[in-house]
Amino acid sequence: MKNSLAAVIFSIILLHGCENVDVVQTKIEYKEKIVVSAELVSESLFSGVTFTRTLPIGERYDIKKAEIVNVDSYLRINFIRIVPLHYQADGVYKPASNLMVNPGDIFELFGKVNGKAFYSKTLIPGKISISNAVLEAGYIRASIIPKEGEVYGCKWFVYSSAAKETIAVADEFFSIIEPSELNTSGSLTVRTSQIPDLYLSAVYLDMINIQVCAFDKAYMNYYLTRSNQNVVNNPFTQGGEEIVWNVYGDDAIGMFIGMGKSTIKAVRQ
Amino acid sequence: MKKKFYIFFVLAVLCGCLTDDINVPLEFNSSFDLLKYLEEQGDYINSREAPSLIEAAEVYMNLSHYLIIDVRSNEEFINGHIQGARNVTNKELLSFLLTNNAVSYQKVVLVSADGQESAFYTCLLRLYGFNNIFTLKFGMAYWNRSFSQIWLKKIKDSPLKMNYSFDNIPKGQLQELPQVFEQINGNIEDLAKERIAFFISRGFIDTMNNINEAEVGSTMYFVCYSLRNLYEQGHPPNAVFYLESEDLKSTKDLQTLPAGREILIYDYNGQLSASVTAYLQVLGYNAKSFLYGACQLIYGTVTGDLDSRTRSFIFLPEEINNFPYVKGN
Repeated sequence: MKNSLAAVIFSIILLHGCENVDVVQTKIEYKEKIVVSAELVSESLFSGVTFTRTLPIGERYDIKKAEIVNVDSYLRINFIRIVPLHYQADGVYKPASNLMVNPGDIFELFGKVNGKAFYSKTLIPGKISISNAVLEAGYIRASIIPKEGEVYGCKWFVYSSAAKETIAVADEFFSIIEPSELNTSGSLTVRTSQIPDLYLSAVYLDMINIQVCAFDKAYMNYYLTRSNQNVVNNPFTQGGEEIVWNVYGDDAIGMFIGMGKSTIKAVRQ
Repeated sequence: MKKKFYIFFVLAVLCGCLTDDINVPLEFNSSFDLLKYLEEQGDYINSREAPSLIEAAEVYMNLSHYLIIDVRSNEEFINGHIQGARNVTNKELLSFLLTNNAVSYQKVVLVSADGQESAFYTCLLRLYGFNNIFTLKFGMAYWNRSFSQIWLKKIKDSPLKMNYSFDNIPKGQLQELPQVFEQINGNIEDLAKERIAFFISRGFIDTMNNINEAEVGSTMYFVCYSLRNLYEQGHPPNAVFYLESEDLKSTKDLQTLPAGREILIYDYNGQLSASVTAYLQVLGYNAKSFLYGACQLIYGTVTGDLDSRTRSFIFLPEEINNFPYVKGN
């Protein structure tokens, strides 16, 4: 009797031990955030602000689920002019009529939805004056006269005036630079990323242009941190740092950023 | 001592945890909400629909289909009115429309003596949400010659016309929107409708019939709300031009209107200015309509070179109709 009881207890312990598999609980809490997105391009019509929400991890992105349709929001321009924004479609909000984005204006965004408020402010860059766009060693270098409160980046692009179309354009800025990096002449040197060899051939050489973009300086912090929180494939790096947004408020993230663009043809050195 | 240090340490840690809260400036106020509401309703005054005039001929052809509401006094109504018209005072106008299912009519036509008062109510009712309200153009004065005197004695040139300016007077500096409600208690739609109802009931009283133009220039913000062509034909000194359907948009020059000053508005004939006056009053501006507009300032000039478009804005005696009317209650 004693032996059989011991055998049963032993078996239970043994079986229980077999089941005791440690499962690592990955507990990533989902917290919904309001995502604000707007590019205010100098000397063009305001194209609207998009208000969406983050969706739970693993949920397939669907704009109909992500869009927020009941945001109360306004623009305030130069701290005085009030322009209400109205829902259009797919989370996009626009003024009741066309609104011109003028260089030097300061745009503020006020929003509230479901008891949460958010805010952003941006400067619309002035006209960019580019000089000496030179094609050298496979990239374009240009000089610009910088203005306070702005940062700059540039891209190369290949444009056929005969076909009136852009044939190719750089994916990324080579860098974003601040006016603090002035050279002795008071101008700022910007450069593009490397142009693929294909477009450096004689066929395209006369079609290579540079587009210089000026941004509100808030873009700098976003640019430097934008890769944070991406999937980390390198075991020796970490990606958990926050992205620096310029939208502030209750569970709100995103960029509401003023920008200006100017282009010029590159000259071979 | 150790205990105090411990408390300070805990407080410092807690404060550190709280620094992530960013103070969001809450700049919402009732004026923004009201402006937004009015824009969401179709931005009537900045649309091509304002001031929603309807020709006498169309009304005559549709007497049995349209609801015709005569807003003149009972005495004027008895003296002669369009057959089938209902005499409704401004104080009863809104409740009459709500209780008589006005939205079910193809068109509801408001009739006044000269088109001015009805244009004011038409705008308010459009803002309220009735999209089928129209004003009988030039009122009873264009319906039948028997009622035209009110207009005929007004069409003239101002004695001060020779002093009129051809310069472009700059608009005012941008200003804050008027503060309409102390605070928003409840739904903005209800508050807006309550405010619109108030102005309907209050009546078309903020008007000017004769102006001492020198005085107007110094105390009022004088607005020519029309097409540039009218402004360029000469305007009272200090009158500022605002392009109709465009310049009073929130994205344009609405906030160049002074919130703390009387605003006197004129157009070609006083009907559009009555409509704009209604809109601006709802928004909290101290607006007045200059009755009969340019027709009592520069009638000789505006009739001197009429194209097909401006022709429709001007009261022309030769275009007065002779449609029948009935007397009595």
